[in-house]
Amino acid sequence: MTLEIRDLGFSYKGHQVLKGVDLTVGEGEMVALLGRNGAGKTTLLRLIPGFLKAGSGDILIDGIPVREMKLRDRARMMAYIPQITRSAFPYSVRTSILMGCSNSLSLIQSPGKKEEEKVEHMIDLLNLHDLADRNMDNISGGERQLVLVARAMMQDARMLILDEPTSFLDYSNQLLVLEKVADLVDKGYSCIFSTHNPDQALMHSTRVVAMADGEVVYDDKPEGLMGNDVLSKLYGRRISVIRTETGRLACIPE
Amino acid sequence: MSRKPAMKVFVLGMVTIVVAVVALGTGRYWLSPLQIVKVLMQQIIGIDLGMDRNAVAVVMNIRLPRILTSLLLGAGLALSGQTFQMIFRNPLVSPDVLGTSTAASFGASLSLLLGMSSFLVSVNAFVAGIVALVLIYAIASRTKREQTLALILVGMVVSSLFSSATSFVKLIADPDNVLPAITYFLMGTLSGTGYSELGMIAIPAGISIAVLLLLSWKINLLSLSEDEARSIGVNTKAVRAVAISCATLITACSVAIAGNIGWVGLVIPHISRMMVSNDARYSFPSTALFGASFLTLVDCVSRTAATIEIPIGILTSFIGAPFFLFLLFREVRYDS
Repeated sequence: MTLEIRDLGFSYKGHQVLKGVDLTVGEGEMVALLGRNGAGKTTLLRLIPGFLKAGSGDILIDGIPVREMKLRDRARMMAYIPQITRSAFPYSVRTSILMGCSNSLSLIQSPGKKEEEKVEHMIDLLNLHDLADRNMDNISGGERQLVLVARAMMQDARMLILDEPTSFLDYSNQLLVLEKVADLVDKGYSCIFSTHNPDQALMHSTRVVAMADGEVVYDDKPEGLMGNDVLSKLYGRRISVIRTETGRLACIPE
Repeated sequence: MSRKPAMKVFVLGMVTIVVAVVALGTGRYWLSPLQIVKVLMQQIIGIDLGMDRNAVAVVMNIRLPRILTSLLLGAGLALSGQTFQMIFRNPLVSPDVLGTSTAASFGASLSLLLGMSSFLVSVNAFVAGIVALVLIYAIASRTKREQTLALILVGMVVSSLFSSATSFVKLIADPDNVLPAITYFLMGTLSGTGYSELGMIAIPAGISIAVLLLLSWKINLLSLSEDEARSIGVNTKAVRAVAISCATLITACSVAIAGNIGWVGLVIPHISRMMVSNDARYSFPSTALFGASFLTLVDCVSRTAATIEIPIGILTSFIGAPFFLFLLFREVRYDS
């Protein structure tokens, strides 16, 4: 599945938030979106599933414009995972995952045995057995994000859109969530996620897209950030990208 | 489907039938459940089981329409409350959140002030409730705010206006005859409910209940954030519009023939979620069944506890509040 964004523009209250953004996310790619607050990352991620209407340009999934797709068809193609999920009615982990199957049900249908079996399969895949019977209120933020990933998988969506999935998580949960998503990408899923932590982009993504003032200023492999001032310009201070002894890339603010 | 909550819903269904049968037999003219079954069989199948004419008349002409109404309104009000709680993502919301019941109360009060027949009182209450809903939707859709918040805010304004209008009607009403009638009606009562009242609400309330039950899985998803629900593939705008219309229709039906019956729509959904499940497949049917049983039981107390009928609106709080507190103090899981 390929996501193609062509010359995308979006304005809000007269302010041009996105200016001619071009971006492609192919199968098996994990694209990290970097940029300061207000760079347009969240707007871009909310435009992709159609939560916002683009002012200009096109968003295509396998060549089909997203705006022409029905909501249910969109939900079968892509899943949006918010920064945080809170409901006034704390559902169980199982029920929360089950909610993801709604796009395959008719308007008046409720999930049945087939969908319940699929939930068990997702629990197996993401190893959520210990959480399955607990309420969403009684699990950690990282575990909640994993439940949302499982819910996205229930949708059969192969394109995962994650808006700052780790912003409310401790370090170990940040690693846990991104490693699980990276595992799925290895299995053929595609993912685009935004983050305020360039180290996450260097460690987990297959490509980095940096945005400033609504424009894409860098779109290449993480390695391409070495030996130049892309990150320094992006964050307004000197930042080096180095390769560690183990071969990993790391970000060093100077 | 998991068995435990499904079994609980089944048991609740049985309990509702038992409650209805007991309620049919309860009153000054007491009849045992067996006698009730005999009367019903005699009427439905047409075989003479030896029940005397008085028993048949009391059950079929007086109690049955009233109990069918209480079952229908109890189920409807509770479902309506659950629906509004999901739509507004707020467990403290009740069916009168949008002010439609306040509007319906005004319609009824004004009709009583003008000396209209009880049929016209009901019709006008119903119409006022629907007019309020249309008004709220029309104004809310013209604001630039998020739709759910806009509906609540506009609902508050409309509710406040109709509430003041009702107070004005009370102020100018004849304190000897009309004012007590208005006050008594607004307290909520099923007194005098017959087949004509039941016939008036059976179709709109029945269809609304059916639609809410059929859409329950999707309505439940509205309790997630707007983005999450849409990402899952729910047409939030359409489901919300249908659900609000049905829930409002039920509320208007209720005020039209029974005045204000508070508490049921607020508390029954909680009781259902606490005791059965948070999963919409079970919580919606169980809410309907709990609501039906509760209102029928309360109505039973209302017409038998004292020499005069105690308004049902007073009793729903007296019985519901301690029960709800009891549940709150128990260690409960909100989901199964």
